[in-house]
Amino acid sequence: MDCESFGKYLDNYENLTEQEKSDMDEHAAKCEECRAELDFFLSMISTVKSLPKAEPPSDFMDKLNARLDAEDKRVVSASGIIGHFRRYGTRYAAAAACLALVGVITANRSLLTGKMDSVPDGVIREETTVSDGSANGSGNAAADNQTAAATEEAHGTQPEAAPVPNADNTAPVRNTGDAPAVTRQSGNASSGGTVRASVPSAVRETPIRPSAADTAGEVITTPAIETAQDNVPASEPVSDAGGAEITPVNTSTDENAPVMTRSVPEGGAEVYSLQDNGSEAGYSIALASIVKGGDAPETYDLRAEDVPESLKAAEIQANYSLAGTDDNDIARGRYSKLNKDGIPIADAPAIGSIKFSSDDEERAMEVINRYTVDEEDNIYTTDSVNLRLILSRLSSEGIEYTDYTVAGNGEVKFQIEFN
Amino acid sequence: MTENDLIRKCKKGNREAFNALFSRYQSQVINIAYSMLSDREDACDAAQEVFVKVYRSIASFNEKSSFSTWLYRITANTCSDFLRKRQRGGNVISINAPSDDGREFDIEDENSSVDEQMELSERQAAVRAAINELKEEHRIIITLCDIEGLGYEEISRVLKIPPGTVKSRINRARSALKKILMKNRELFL
Repeated sequence: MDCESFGKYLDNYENLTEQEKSDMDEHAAKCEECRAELDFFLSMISTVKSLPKAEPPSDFMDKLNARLDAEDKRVVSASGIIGHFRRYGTRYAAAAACLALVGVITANRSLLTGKMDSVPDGVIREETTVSDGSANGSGNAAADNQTAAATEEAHGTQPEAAPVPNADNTAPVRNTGDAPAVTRQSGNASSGGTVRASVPSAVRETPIRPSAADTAGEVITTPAIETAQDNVPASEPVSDAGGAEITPVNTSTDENAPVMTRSVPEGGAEVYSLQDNGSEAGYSIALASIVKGGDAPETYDLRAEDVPESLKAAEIQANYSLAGTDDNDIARGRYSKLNKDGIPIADAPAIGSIKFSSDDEERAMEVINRYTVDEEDNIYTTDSVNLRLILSRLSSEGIEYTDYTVAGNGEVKFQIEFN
Repeated sequence: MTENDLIRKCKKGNREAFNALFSRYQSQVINIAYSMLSDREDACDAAQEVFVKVYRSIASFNEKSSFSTWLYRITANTCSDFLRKRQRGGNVISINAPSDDGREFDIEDENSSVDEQMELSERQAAVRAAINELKEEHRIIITLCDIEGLGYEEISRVLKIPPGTVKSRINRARSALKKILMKNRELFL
């Protein structure tokens, strides 16, 4: 061994075999300079390993329990508000409707008066407020559909009907509490004009489309506070992945059983497509091509809870176990709907997003970090309760956010962008 | 009571079980945080944050991996947040004063002389300062491997990197540490 090899060995010390270490010792016995290098290195490592441990302060657990008590109160308080609105939402809505009616009458007094005075061009604009979905227990349906529908909105495709409570063309739905709300203010229904929502101050809107039978062009918005939901609506049939190699994955003999195919578009992520012949509904599971530690892409399990309910019902869960991981990895694979060309909709991730102004970065990050359990590559993980706390805290601190979508079931993942 | 029993109770919201579980791990978490943050007070704050996160999220722990792996991952991520906050705030932690409570000097080894103990604590102070200069990914790998003594496989699971990458990263981290310590080389000879 020469001095140059010795230096390389030293830089790779952790990977050396006992024989190679012995070779180094042999060389060091003859070369004073290399001996000094080795001594320095070994002394450094031994010092690192000898660093004294920091003992926990005696009041560590007491302080921790005080914080946990505060956590309990916060969670109870948040869920209490939501529960309260769920229980009494209809009453609030009725009261709000009365107030709105008074407001409408007051605002249109001159018109009404004009009408009564037989002014020919007088127009009475209609505005009625009724209870929202969350208040009457059907709000989840709206929230269920908002993510998928928002995705469709973003890509300009036509989603399947997203049932919205009280989705009448003329009746606005209003909610201004912490509870999930669907708000719609109607213009002249016959005009098909876009309508916008009013939402709690800092809670921004994610547009969703109402039923296809609804007025064309009408947009319903909702601050999507409710738990994350399936990203894949049971709607469009899915074609294959645009000429890519396609391999059947499941081999069921039941002709009505969903068929899973695997395709690998050139340069793209692996895509698993499911064609449910029974219902003519199609899905795909696109594994994000995450490359780590080399050229081989890693694949990840799609956890059972991330699989859309409609697919679970089809009893083909086994097909989703695409790759094994033996630890507590959060599913990083993602499923998404294919577009008409069979290509995964790139921006329809199972990972939601929240956008902030960079002016609020520090304050927003404090809130996010407080209520998220994991972060990797700007993907933050939390659960639905903590997501509510994040949104509630952002609102109470006056931090505005936009383009909010969530995804995932049980666990909630989102990424953050700053303008 | 086994750790799995404790975790099951924690998932039901049993505070005593949380206390028992956290008491088992408080030293490790504080130590990892101390190595990462080089500041005892920050380390305790970070450790509190870690346990609060665990408290909130224990339901999402699916028990496929060991609790310690999950806990260490949360610890590493929380410390990264602290470091980022520190960078944004422009805070610089000075650890050249060997320790904030003199513990660095508190070496109880009857076989070593006072001089030897002083030399060791000087080396420790230099190493602590050098670790503080390492970039984050090197700091965490040195912490988990050399200070906490975790095996490659566990580090691989904590950091979600292949075991081979763990080894090569340790080598790079040690080389970087060696380079920083060159100015104090005489302490180590």
